[in-house]
Amino acid sequence: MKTLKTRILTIPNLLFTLLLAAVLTPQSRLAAVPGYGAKMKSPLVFLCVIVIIELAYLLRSGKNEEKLKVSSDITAFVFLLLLAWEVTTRKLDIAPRIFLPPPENVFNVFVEDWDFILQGWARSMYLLLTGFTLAIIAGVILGLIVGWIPRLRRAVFPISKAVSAVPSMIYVPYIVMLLPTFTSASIFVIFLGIFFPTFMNMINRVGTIDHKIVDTARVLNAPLHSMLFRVILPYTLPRIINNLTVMLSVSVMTLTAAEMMGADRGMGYYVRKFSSEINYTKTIAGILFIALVVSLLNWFVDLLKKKLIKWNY
Amino acid sequence: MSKIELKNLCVEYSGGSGRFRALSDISLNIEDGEFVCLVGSSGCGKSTLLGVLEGLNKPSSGTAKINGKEFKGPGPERAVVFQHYSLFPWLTAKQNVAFAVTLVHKEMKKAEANAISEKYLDKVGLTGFMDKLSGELSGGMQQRVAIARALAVSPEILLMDEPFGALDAKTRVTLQKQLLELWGSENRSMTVVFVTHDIDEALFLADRIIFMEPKKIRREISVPFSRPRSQSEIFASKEYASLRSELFSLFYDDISEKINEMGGWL
Repeated sequence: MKTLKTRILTIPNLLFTLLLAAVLTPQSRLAAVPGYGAKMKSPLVFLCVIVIIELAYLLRSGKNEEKLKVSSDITAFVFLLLLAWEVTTRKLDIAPRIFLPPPENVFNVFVEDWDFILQGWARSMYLLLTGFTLAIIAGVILGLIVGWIPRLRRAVFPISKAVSAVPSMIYVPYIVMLLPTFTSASIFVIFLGIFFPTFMNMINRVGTIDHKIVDTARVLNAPLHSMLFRVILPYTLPRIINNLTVMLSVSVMTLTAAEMMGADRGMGYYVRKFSSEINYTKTIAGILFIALVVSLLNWFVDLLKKKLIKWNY
Repeated sequence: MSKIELKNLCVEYSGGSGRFRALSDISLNIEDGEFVCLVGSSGCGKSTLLGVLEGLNKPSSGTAKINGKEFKGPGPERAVVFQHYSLFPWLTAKQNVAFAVTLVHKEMKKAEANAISEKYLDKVGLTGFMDKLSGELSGGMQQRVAIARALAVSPEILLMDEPFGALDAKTRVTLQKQLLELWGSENRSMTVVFVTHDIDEALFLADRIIFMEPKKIRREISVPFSRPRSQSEIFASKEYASLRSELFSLFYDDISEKINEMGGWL
């Protein structure tokens, strides 16, 4: 049984207190830097973020010691970063003001611009999930069929290997110009970026399937559709789901790249617009927002993984 | 008409360095309801022969008939138990058996297939393990599920490829007994072809033992013990001792021939 003292006196709690103190106390050289104070926004949102992280840390539940330790270390790192940010900007004003605005202002953007950001988010999610879902479904089904037929597999695999060797970023400008609307162009770009790796992975996996699995299904008199969709598909499912995390990052990358070329809304557009306006407060807020969205998507994929894969090879 | 008729059967594999003959000129009849063990040392072609009956290996010449008809590939009148644990790891024990049932009875409702599955898992003594994934079951339990899966489709012919080869001695004996009981409970109407290299196993289970030497059938030995059999009675009988020593000498003949072939290198 841990004593109350050792539970309160932890590094994250200590950093939390320091951070609160830094945000709540006035700027040390306020008088010496005229004009700085007037540009400061309300620290409320930033404070909320800090408190939420602290609450998540305090209320975290973990079964084993090791995991608790890890989450405590992660919290400590996040607080340390925020503290360094706060100290170098608002407290000491030693960072270049234009490039590194104080965290109060950056986090306040989420309140100032919430409708703009949310609209962009909805737009990006629509493009992302449409392209992503279509590519995964097409890649899995076609890969399943091509992988199962040796002659087709041997012909198609080298071709798609050559095609997929070209990074999708390269042809983004071309496709954005080629297709009539930006919507269709960005869905198509995401589709290409995800389809080929999924397709090839699937061909590979089906081609190298454990022959015992196939033999067993054959002596059970499985017809072709059962063989493909009730034996080989579940056999390859763990691999597909494991790859979703990587695929997701790839699709976010291609989408934001596409949005920087020709979009009028979206998460990538938001970042591009304000960085070209030299408004780095909003640029950083946009980047943080994208990071948050991608993390949440990854978290969701992990959840899916745990739900769907109950067996190991 | 015999249940299974093999005539002048040859099987050749084309490997990296030309063709390899695995079976040459095999002729064999197996009667309806007979329990036959294919015995021989490893590499003698007994598993290849079973593979032909499973429909996984194609004969390169000769004919293979079941119920008087030549067959191509696997068929619903046959069920197989492999040596390797062949359950689908993403399905539970019950789902594994039910899946096999629905593949043979395509019109059957899911609930009915599940009921059949439960019935056969009960029979092999896995009542409490139906909802476990195969990875959560021991080797012996997995083979029980595989046997339940094979029996649940009510096959006319049961093909078993060293099904107990990877199990420990005690589990093996238990499963041998259980297999005979299950076969007996269906009035021994099922024809069983069982591949093994364990002489005691063959003598306990079989009506007839086919002893194979590389590529060919060397000798057929009928096993006269009455059924139902008890291991302790059989092991104590004189006939058992003489059959066993006969089989053993065949085995060692085979091995000493091999050693001579290799110039005594072994």
